[in-house]
Amino acid sequence: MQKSKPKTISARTLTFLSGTALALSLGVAQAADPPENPGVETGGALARHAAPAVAGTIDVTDAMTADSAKTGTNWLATGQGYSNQRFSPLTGINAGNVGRLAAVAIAQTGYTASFETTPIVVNGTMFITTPMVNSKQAVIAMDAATGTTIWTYTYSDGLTQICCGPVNRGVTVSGGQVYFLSLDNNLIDLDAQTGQMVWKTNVADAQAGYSETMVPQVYGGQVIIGSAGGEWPLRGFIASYDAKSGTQTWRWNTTDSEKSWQGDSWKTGGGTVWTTPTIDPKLGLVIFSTGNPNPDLDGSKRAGDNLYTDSIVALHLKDGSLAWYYQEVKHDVWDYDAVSNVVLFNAMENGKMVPAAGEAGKTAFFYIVNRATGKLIRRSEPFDMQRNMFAQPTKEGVQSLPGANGGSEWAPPAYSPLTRDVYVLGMNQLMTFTTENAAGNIPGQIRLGSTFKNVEHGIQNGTFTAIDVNTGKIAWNQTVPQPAMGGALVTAGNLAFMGEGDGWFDAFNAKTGQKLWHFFLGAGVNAPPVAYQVNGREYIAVAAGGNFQMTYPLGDVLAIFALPQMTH
Amino acid sequence: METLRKQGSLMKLRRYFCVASAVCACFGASLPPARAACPSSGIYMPAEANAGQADFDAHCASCHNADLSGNAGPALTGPKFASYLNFTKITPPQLQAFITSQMPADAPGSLTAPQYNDIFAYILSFNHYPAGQDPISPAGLNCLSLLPYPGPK
Repeated sequence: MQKSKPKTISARTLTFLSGTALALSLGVAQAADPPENPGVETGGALARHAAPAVAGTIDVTDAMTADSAKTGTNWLATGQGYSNQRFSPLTGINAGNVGRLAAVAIAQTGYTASFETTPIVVNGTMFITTPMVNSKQAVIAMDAATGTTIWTYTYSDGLTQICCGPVNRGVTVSGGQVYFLSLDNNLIDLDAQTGQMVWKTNVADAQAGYSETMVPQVYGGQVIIGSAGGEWPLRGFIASYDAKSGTQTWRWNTTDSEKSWQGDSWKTGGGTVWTTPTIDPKLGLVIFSTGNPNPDLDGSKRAGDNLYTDSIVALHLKDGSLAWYYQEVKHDVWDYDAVSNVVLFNAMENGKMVPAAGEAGKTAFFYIVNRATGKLIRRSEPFDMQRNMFAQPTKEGVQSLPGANGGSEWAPPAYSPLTRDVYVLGMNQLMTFTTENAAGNIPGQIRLGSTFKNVEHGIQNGTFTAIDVNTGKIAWNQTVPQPAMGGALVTAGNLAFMGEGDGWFDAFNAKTGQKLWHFFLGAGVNAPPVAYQVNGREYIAVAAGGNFQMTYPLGDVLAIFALPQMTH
Repeated sequence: METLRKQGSLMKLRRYFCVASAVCACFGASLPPARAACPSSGIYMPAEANAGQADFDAHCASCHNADLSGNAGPALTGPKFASYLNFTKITPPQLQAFITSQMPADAPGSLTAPQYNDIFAYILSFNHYPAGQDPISPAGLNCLSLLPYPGPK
């Protein structure tokens, strides 16, 4: 399916291009791009004419990323280090003083749509992505303490096919470069200092239904990516690209051609890798979760377990060969992706602490496997309601919980080495699963295979749950009015943060689950929060732009919070 | 056959002439439709397209934009739509069946058959597929080829 034609433009060439020519060169060739709605891209100080550049150094090394959760000054690699723990060791803002937490900046990007970015913070500079609005999406570098824009890189998308909103989940920064993926499937390297493009590589075919919403992971000079698109008849993959040149170094397809698929259904069997992988440098593994088989809701033409869909998978970093897998759902017909990103931590197995990997399933179980073998250590108590789970859909329809969104959807959890709890966002959405229409088989045409629908007046709410990884037992469980989709942050200040669909941003006592603070941001807070320090002062930041898929109120805000400074 | 519900007396008359070709088309999808049974002009009526605009604006524009340029949902006009049609080679009956069963994305199948027909007529009209004397029908859809794409470049 992939048409990999690396297209590179040197940074030197780019510096000679005028702003207009640059903008034109960045988009996929379009004879007549739809005119931009001039009412949309407002707000945000766009400093693109001042030859702006980041003042501080942005040279992020692998060692810095690996240690980021120890120092806490920066927020790196989307999940705060290679383990995706989203844990900050900072204690300036804590359970004792969070009641005084106040907004210090409300930065508006002008891109009003589902906003799912995780900010990256390097030495006082924050890097975020916007969603796509009218075929344009942006990467913005801003002052992490004030929210003022330093540079904006605007990208014009060609053809996109997307199931669930024009989203982007952020950048990663490594070695002075900013890496991100465009919705129309280009992996793009920007100079972190200036926002100028260094190279761009097409990684998948939008016509076939691939799209890119995830944050790449960079380690050892490799940029590792997957893709979205599991609702289309295509084959999921994870691939590694050389960070300097953008050329592909290995690629692993997620559907197995040898077994567990009827006929050649593996060729279009889905299993996309659509959230950021974790890295275990010691074991030399890249570990990630895989999405649903396709067609999502019709298994009649893909008999078998459908490996390696709905799984936690580990590959050898050096060549992308399979190390192990654990399949959460065999022969899925409910869209029960393993999607929420894998988190690494240590956990008790038979009285011994061992390296483990965990994934918050759409099934409402948190699965914990041994990181060396992939063997299941335990799965948690259910963190959301389970009713009729795994009942086969019928023509008349079967009502089940969790619904097709989970359980836990893409929202990344957080893990605290202090409480030894993992903090998981979930949802209760009663849905009807049917077999009401057979899947067509048209390349490039979305192929769900049937439909799932919310049950009218059925339960609809969200959950935030702390789960003890050593026992699988629930430490505490909070309910919020809307199904929860965004992400968690936990800090050494005994705080766990998450956002709600109606616009509230909340802080809980990480040990007890007591709600300690909240702030209303107007648009749904459906993105992962982060913590960092600038000049010794701790900040919390989160995007609030709502969610298309869940029809939460839209906005375009990147909000930054801190404790009020003492005045003398 | 759901799509027949809307049709008035004109359609009923026409059905007698079209049944044979519709049956042919159903059982041999790869065969070109019998030429005699196909209208010489378009396969939808202007009135359907006019009615379809309001339905499109109410139920589709929030994702596809009122000018069909696409946003959260794919573009339904212009070069991007042409690219989609060229790649998928999707036929009008397939596209209509998809829209009827899967759209709107947040409430699939929730519109009436006439509404789906009107919306489809509006999309065809917007993309310069010619209108004609007859309302949208399964037989008519079988007569239309979406390629080459006639719409805005």
